Amino acid sequence: MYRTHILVCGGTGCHSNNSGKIREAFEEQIKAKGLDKDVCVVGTGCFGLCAVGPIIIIYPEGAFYSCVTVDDVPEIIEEHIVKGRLVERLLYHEKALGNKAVHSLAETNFYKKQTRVALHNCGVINPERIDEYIARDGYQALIKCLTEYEPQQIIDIISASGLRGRGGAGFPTGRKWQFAKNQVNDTKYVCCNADEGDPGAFMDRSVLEGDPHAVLEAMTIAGYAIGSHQGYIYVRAEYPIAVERLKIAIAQSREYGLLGDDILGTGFSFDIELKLGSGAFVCGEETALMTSIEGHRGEPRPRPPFPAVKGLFGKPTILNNVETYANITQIILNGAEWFASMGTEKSKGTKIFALGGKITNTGLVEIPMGTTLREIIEDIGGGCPNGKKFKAAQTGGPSGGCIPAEHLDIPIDYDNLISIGSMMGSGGMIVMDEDNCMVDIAKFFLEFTVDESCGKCTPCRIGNRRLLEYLEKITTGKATMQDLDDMEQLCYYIKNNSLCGLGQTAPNPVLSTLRYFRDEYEAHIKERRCPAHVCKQLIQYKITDACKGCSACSRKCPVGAISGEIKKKFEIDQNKCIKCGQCIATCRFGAIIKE
Amino acid sequence: MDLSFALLELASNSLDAGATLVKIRLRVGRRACLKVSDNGRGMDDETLKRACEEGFSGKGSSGLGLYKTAKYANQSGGSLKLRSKIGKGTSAILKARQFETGDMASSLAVILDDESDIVFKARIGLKRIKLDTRRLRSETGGISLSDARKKAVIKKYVNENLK
Amino acid sequence: MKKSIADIMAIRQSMQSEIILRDNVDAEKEIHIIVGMGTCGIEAGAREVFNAMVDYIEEHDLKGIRVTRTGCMGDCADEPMIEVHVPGKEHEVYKKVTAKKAVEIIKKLAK
Repeated sequence: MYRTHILVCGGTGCHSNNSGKIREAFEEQIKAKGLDKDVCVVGTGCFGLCAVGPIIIIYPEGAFYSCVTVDDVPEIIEEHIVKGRLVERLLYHEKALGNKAVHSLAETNFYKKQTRVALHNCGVINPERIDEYIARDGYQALIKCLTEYEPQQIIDIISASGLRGRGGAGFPTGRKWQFAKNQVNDTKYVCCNADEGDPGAFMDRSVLEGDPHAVLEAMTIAGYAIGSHQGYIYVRAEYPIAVERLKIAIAQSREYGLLGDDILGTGFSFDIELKLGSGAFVCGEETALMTSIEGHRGEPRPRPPFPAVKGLFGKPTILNNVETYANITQIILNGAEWFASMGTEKSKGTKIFALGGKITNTGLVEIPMGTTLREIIEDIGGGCPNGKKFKAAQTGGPSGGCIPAEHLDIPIDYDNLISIGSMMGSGGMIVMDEDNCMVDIAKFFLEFTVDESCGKCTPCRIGNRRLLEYLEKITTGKATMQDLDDMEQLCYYIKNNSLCGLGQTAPNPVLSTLRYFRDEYEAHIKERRCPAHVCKQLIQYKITDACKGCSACSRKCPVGAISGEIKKKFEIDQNKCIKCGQCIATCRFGAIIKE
Repeated sequence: MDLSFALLELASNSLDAGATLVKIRLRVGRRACLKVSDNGRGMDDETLKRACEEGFSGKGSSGLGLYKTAKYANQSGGSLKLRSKIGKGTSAILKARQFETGDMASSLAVILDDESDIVFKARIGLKRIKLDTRRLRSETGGISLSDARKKAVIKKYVNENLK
Repeated sequence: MKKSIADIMAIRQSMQSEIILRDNVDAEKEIHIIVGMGTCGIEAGAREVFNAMVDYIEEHDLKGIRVTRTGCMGDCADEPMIEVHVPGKEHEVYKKVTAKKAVEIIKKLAK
């Protein structure tokens, strides 16, 4: 049997950093040394600490190596595998522990503060081997459901657990399944929303790449609970590795008879089909998603009727997010009370967050609901790098809002976030520091939503575009205070009148940045100044008295905007300046500043 | 750190030491070498020994200029050697293997002065460049850098010959 | 190759001891045995000691005992050495351990 396990992270992040080649190198060299009966090399899913990939974890020691390259492989084998000595220089050094070389993963702050439920298999098993999934209690929940529970009992368990949709809206999952079960119809559908369109979100991707069977098993359980025999997974085509792993997982499940007719001899039949998205953000919206599966252009439909009553192909359908499904098997195995014991009163369980932006530990973390934003950003995330000050964290992507420093101690849950003008969203969290301009951030999200609007309803199609135009006016210093009021009015109009969630939530980034950072908007308008020095039109490059008149900057300037006499202070012509920053980079005396 | 920065460093020291004539020889490439010698007030043995020490300054400055130059030279496999005699002047020889040339023109523009003369001779590849302010002074009837026309002559020379 | 429920249980059982290696040692609940495997340790037979313990645990499906490796523990003359950490007790060091002795130690701990 294998006494040593070398786990190589194969998530998209590490993969694009050659983790595949690292795994191959391990396999080759282990075999060459004749250790292949004793040492197994496993490619796993995303481990989570993406900032320091490629990541290798070696058991039984739990040694956590980071930033590994192919050239390190011989040393790791020689020192750790053969001699049992950990390779100190490659061990992950956690700043919070005073740069002490961390030996096992369990010792890092990053890991200690997490509660990995949906991610419990990610980074541990080889997602392409169904046996490893089974070894870690895979398909035990399905067996339990098919042999011990009636469909209604399963729905009761899910309801009691308090699980709410992890896609962003937070609708109680048990209730959704109940609505569908209550419909009397021979044909019902179980759908999985794997479209994950929010910029910066990759929670679902990691689950699909690292533990696809968890989703398959959960969907099968859902099918049994509501009375459905067909499932669809709508996965975005921009996730090729996830698509590949899903295909392999479905094939292996079918081979073992865990999908298809008469599953495990219980008489229950259920199968799953994969549908690829085509690059439209709006298809992450439930009715647009179903319309897309049906073969039409992805456009949302008015509700009622709700999908649980009349959904895909007009049949009762449940649509749940990947992460929601990833929790199901754990709830069945450990019980509703166990799940409900974590989190806050109205938001039970855990949530995966994808930390991105100005944060040291970019990557994936799963924490119990109720953890404060401060703990996530400072303890787990390692704070803002380069000593910069935290300014705000954006949750919910283009539909969400920003949380400023004053709310750092808020316990994260669905309702709390809404009360401060943001939302949980799918879990993407973009951290911003003092060098980010909040107006620019709002503009970034609006650019995205305007591009992705399907165009069906006027408030979104035209309203959001007008909203973007206001933001462009503000960031180029051409707006008035009246424009600010009009823009705010427009936001409320769009929210109240759009057909689907995309339009209804598109103004959120604007409203929330206005709420907490109104002063930045006013500076752009009244003073034509961008406090964070981001909005290009509003930055002025100035030469100070430290100038020695050496003419180096004027010779580097690509548009000849700098002039002067040798040994005298040079000057920048603001009308010619294109704010490229070459002059600042060239000056050896630090005499040029942005203001 | 590049050669133009080192030149700025060494020549500024010469001017601060009251030199009226600073001679600069520069060879770039694999065996880059920069020689700066002046007729300033020079250093006594004690000061000379500590000249490249971090934080040590004979003129109340930060004391980091020579320290940095020597450090980077040593790191690239080269060296910085100083020779000085009180009342006579100082000469510095920088041997730097991996230094880039940098912006020579701007360094020279900074050290050009009303009170002292600069003789700059450089071999950059196959090109030989010479700037001798003594000759320029006699040609333009005494350089005063407040005279726009004469300043233009120097600026033009610097810009054209030392890109 | 359609599986029955019994088949699935069998697969799970057979993979258990292997997959459990991938969990981090829970110092509060598990007995943790560390084997010194520096060059001197290996020369003296530490690898056989390690293998013997791991194999015994697997064969007898023992739960709650984990064996990991470390480098040289210092007393090169007394290799092979193992450190036994039992939750709540002072850790013990055994010197000049053989594969047979190591298995005996585990048998005692398993009780």
